[in-house]
Amino acid sequence: MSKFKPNWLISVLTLVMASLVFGASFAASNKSTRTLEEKIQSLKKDVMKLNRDLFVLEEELLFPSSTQVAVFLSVDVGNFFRLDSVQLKLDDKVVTNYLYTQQEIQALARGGVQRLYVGNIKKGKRELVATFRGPGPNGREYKRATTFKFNKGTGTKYIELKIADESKNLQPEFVVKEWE
Amino acid sequence: MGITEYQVVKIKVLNKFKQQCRQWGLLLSIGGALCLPTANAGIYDGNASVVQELDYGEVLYQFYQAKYFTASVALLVAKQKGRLEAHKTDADLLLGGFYLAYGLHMDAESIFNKMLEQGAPEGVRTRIWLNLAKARYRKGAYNDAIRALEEIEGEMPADRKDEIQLLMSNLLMARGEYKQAVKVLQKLPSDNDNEAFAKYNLGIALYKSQQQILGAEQLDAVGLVKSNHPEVKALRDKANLALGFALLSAQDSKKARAYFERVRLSGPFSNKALLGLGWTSALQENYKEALSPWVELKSRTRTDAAVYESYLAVPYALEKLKAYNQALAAYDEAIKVLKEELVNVEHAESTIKDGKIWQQLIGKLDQNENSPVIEIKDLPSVLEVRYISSLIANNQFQEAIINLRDLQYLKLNLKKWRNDLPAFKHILDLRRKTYSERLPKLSPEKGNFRLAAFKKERDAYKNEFDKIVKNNDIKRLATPEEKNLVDRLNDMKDSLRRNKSRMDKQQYANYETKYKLLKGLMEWDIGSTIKPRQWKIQKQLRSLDKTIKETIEQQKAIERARKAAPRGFKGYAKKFKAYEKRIKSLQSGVDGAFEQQKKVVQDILVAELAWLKERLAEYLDQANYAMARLQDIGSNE
Repeated sequence: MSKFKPNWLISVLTLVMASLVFGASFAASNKSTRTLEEKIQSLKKDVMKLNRDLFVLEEELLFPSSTQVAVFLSVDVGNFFRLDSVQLKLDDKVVTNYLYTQQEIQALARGGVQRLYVGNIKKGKRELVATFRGPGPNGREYKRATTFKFNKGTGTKYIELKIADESKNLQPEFVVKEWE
Repeated sequence: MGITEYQVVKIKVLNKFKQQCRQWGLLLSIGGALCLPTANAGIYDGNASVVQELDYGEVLYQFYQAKYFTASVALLVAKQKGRLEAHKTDADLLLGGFYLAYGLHMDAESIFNKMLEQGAPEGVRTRIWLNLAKARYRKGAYNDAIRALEEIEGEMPADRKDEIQLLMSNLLMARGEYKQAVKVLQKLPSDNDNEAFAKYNLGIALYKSQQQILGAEQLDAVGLVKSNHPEVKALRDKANLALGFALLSAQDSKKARAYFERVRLSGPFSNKALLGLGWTSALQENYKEALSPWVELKSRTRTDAAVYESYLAVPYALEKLKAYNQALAAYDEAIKVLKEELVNVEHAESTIKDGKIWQQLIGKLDQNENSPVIEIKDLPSVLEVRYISSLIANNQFQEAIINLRDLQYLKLNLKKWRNDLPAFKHILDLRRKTYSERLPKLSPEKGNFRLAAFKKERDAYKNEFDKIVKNNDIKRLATPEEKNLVDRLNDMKDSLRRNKSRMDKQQYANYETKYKLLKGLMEWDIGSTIKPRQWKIQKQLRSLDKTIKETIEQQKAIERARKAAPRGFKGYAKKFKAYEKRIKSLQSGVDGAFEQQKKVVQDILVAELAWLKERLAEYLDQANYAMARLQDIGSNE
């Protein structure tokens, strides 16, 4: 016990020194697995590249631009409405029902844009109906549908559904925007 | 208590303390803490740019959910499709950040270097150098990381400045330059968001630069930090616990007690604090008081070694209180529990060595790329939490599990694509078949013939219209009703001519005047509206021209498609084969790496269990020895 000086602070030094030894042993251990680590990095990158190529192929095969319609969803502010779910109808046919997780809601609130639906439609006049559900102003259950008529031409049709705040009447606003 | 026994107890306490340092990883983070609060901090400034392209927004959507693999792939796809032109710089910076967060340090560095070579704008350069420094830090290239940080210049937000300083201090400490690290950390404003982490690091840096008193003061300050953040609360508990045990080892029980009492009773360090608290009383020979935290500890679920120790500590205190029978019973219980645990640990060890654990452990690994890596609740039943509790908080173990999870995700991803490829082929075959069936029906010759007839008809209309305009033949622009009236007027004129001889002059003159009036009115009606009538016909002719033009375009498109279709189908067979080959090769690589990574995790687990077995055996020896001693005392009395 004599090696422990009365000053308690010196003991803390001993404590820290012990941790150093421990830390060093981990560094040595990490070195031995570095080759495997590099191999894993390389595999991750290769699988990513493969995914990129296959997603491009998938779009080419399944959703050619002449028939492709893509619907995106975004949230701007969103103080008056918290999205729980959305249903999409294309020409009176339900094409998607989506239920949101807390993580997804947060990602949307931070400015992320969700690719909600990708499908194929023929050229001509089409109608999209989006029904949003969730707690609205004052926390009451809120359901609102927005209808959007558009013309499908030869190129890919991009449509963005945006949930915004209408500050004048303290109500949520559902805006539909066509992208070129 | 004799002097010798007292020393034995103190040595025991100190030994326990040293064991606990190792066992709990209590001070591991003191030695090597990178106190940067979040994994993805600095990758992206939330409001750096407004989303100008939907694909970019989608990339952010995945990134904000910490799905780095999916976000990277979405970004690579959008980039390949040319859908990120408006966000070119941000996209590259993001991709580098994703790679960094996903553990692709070399690729991250390569992106950042390329951006710098290409002359990124001033504001972006700061973010690049910072990310580059992080990538190099994680690779262990400390000198290069410091050089990257030294490149940062110009104005920047205060929180970024703090982040840079914190990283610099960690790098300096990693290089063993504690005095310089102290200087850097002392410059950090006290109100920065990472104050607790900075103070913690400063405490360590001071310590290691031989300024123990100042270092302890910093750690003491961390032990008093008020925060609602779970990470900071844990850091506070850690600092208090470390100081508590340090003081205990320095025989300053009173001060030690104060630190143990600061530790939250419900936090992850509460068991250790209760054990320490008991020892502060025991060292003052107040065993009654020591019993209180130790009994509480013994009643808790056996989630860590501190609880095991309470099985020895309680009978020890009882013995000191001369409650021999109770002490004997408690030692007996301890022996039973420890023996049972030894058997269980040996069983767990053999299960791991046999590889049987993987079926359970891999099943517990979440298939989502962003799920928490591994939590206590996720552990297979054979692997009791208390056996590897210190590993749960251990970086090396967590990183090994992260790699395992990522490889598992890659395995599933490749499996999915392998299953999808036949579906793609089927779709392609279906499309090829549809083309081959439909294209012959779209005979261009037939279409051309019909189109030529339409054009001829249109030309005839145009010529007729030109003649009408040239001859001012307004009657030919009359409506069917008007034409009917014109016919009736002509009939009237013929009738007048035929009956002129049978009518008196006056009567004939009256009818003729009436005829001329009606004829004049009719010509006026048509003549006064001739321009709108001509415009209407011209408009119809223009519309006809447009329709013919569109038809010609469509015919050309069909013709192009006819010619291109066979060519378009040709390349795919080769592509599919190449993809199949790539998938197979990657599957084999991932499977191999997965097995190797399993071995890494297995080795860590086995080492931990071996160490635990040793500890349990030691506890068991102590319990057996104490029991024998007590029995001796009983028989002597």
